[in-house]
Amino acid sequence: MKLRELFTPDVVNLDIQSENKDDILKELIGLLGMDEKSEAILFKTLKRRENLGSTGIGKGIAIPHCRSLVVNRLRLAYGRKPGGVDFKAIDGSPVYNFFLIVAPPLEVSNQYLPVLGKIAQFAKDPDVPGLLKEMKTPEDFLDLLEEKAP
Amino acid sequence: MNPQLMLLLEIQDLHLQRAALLDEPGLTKMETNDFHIDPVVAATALEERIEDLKAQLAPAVRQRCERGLPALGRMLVPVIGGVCYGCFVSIPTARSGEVNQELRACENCGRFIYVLP
Repeated sequence: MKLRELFTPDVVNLDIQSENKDDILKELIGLLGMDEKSEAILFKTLKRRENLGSTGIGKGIAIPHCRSLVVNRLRLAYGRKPGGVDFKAIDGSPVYNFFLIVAPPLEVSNQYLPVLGKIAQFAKDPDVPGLLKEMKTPEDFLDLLEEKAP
Repeated sequence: MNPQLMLLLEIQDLHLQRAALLDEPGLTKMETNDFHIDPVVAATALEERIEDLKAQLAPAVRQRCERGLPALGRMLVPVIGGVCYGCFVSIPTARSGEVNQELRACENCGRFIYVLP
């Protein structure tokens, strides 16, 4: 399973407008195209996870993630905030890149953990933050995944 | 969506988070090593929040959850493609569309159901 295969251009936003943690979560959730009530529940669940400890893993990258009943398959989205935002990341640095992962309670293919692990590994590649910054189009993001997370 | 159903969804999602922290070894390891979470402390915080939310449930709903949970595992399950994911029995289509407007249970297994669009 390649990360590239789990993203489509419509779940990639290279110009996140929100200026704070809550609004960024909402903007990322919005990329999934769910109904309003499901979005509200998912926001609460993600917010609860953030309250336990930030998903900002350092180097300008955060991976908000949870399991939730409001999705029926693994859903992913990516957002980039060019100016960065305080996400209470573990290294205290601003976060520029957000990978949202939401999985249902039961998955036939059980991809949640492997995908979370792959994205964390991708984020640790020293070249990745710089390459994410240079992307011009959602397709560039997909190409980067193809190259760095085969 | 029915407010009690929304509460149940929130509660169920918190149960899932708690289970992910404590019962899925790979996730527990990642949450600890990559996200610097203490799973036991986090699970305790989630349990407190779950209790807060349970207190907001209507007495009859809460009673049903507390009586049913030990035997049924999850008290709220999704309905996907007209099938209850608690017992995998079909839910009549005519009723599926209205389920999220009121709190309904699967007639076969008794679990509360949430229809996924």
